[in-house]
Amino acid sequence: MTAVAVEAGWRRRLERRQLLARLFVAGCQVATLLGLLFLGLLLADVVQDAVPYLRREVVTNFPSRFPRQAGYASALVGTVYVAGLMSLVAFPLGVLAAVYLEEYARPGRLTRLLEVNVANLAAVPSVLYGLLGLGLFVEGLRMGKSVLAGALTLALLVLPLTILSSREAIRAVPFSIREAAYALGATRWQVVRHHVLPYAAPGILTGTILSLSRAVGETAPLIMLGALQYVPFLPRGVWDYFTVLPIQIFNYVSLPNPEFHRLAAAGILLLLAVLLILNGTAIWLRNRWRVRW
Amino acid sequence: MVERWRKARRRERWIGLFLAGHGWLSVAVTVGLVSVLAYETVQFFRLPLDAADPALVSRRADLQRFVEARPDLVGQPWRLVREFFTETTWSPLYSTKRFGVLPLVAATLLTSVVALAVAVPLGLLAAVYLSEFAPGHVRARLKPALEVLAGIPTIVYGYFALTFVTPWLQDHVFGQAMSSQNSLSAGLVMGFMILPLVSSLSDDVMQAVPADLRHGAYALGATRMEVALRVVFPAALSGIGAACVLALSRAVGETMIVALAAGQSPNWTFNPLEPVETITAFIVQVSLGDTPYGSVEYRTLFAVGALLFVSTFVLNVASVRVVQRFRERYA
Repeated sequence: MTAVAVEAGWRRRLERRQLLARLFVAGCQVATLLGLLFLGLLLADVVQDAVPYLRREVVTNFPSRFPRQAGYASALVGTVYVAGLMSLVAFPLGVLAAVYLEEYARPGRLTRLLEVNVANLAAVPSVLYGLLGLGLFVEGLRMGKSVLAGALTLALLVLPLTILSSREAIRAVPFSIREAAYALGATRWQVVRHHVLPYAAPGILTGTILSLSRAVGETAPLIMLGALQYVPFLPRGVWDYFTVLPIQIFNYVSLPNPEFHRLAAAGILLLLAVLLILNGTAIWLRNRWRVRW
Repeated sequence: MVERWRKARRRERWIGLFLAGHGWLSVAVTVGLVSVLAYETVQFFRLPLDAADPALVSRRADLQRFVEARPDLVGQPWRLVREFFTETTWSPLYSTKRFGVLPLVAATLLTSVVALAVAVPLGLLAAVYLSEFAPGHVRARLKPALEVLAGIPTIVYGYFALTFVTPWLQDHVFGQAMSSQNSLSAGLVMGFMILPLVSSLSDDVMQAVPADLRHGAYALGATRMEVALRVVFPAALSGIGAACVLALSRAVGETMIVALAAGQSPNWTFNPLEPVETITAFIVQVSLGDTPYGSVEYRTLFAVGALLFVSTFVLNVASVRVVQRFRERYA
């Protein structure tokens, strides 16, 4: 074989390899766009279904057998109630646990066990937290199907997420800050309280808002607790029955009448709006207060 | 001065203990979860013994129904254990009361496999694009946009699968062969839900592959595809494997999509066009009805819950092991 023939064969193969590479890059691009396309399709479908129900009554009315008169008033208030109470429980616990893990715990077997445990809890399916809440709060502690039982169950669900995100925020505070405070004679708690926590606060807040939005969208654990689907009143105390947006939506989707499906789509838009506000706040906070070291 | 110092030290010690208490709270949650599941699961397998106690049976309507339906199980807990793990009929809510959990397991596997069939190829290609080919500013926009998929509540996906995907597939692809509830639509939609899990984690590990390796391959004349598939991909394989195992774990535990779109009929089938019932969907179905504390239905709830806990736990541990075992180290 002459050198020219070898050269020609090499060139042909090179062209084929380059063509293949171009096709591959295009394929990767298409795969990425398919995900976004799916997202767009989903949102477009929900909006289209919801159009006839985008009225004030959807927010102000209570559930009803007649789709035209039904609304999400009790579900909206229930969501705010449960999420608020959950935040009061979960966030102090989660942040203090994160402070312990980052600032106090000595590296060793026990600490490693704690860390693995938190990571594993974060990956437990949410429906199992529902079973825990049912066995522990509803039946074990006789709380019944109350706002309190729901809030505590969700608190356990978001606790590992809060711990993980707060740890990230605390870890981002540079060590020199702590060393400077120690050098001036501060105790460990004074370093944490006066220096680490203030600097980590925006990050901690962002993380907690994101875990709050996770809790607001959860359906399964609250169904386990028997969160009632037909609640024609606003909960007045922590012992009242309650319903939340995702459960009310689930209820309407499971009804055969397609009018209720449209009502459910309107509820989904409501839910997505709540989540958008929460996540928007989190992103705004992060950009507004971010410290660059 | 010394007195003040002592006081401060005592205060510090108490604060340390207080914080440690919060740190250990998460262990208490795990202990609580495991003990609730274990206790009620034991109660489930003790059903035949309770049914053998005439005084108890006379007071409890659900035990009476159990004895009438399954006289063969009375006093035979091991027979119930064997039935649970080996038989293919699941009907604890009906009058026949069969307790073979395999149909629920099969349905869970079926929907998860469909979901992975969507999420793994699409997610990996997307990860390769984000990590290797997309310019920095495009990646900074696309990655969060994809992650929006993971932030959408699962009830929304369930709605979409039931009211859009299934009718569309019925009209354009399968016709009447497809039931209005089936594992194919549920799995497809679930695949898009876990797509960002695969793509973001894989993208992160591919980014961590040292640039020197890429430069070396390019210097030898490799094309962009060859660098991505033969250099970066194998180097990141441990992390990619972990991401896929985590995605499987998420699919197995996913509840609302399958409860709405895959159905509530515990059929023993691997046909993705038929209605089935996953483990999680059964848990939802039971808790929608009235389940008094300690009843037969209440106990089945925790028995299948324990099964779900063990499966996802094994998968989560496996994903950590995959990383440790197959990690390539670059010093």
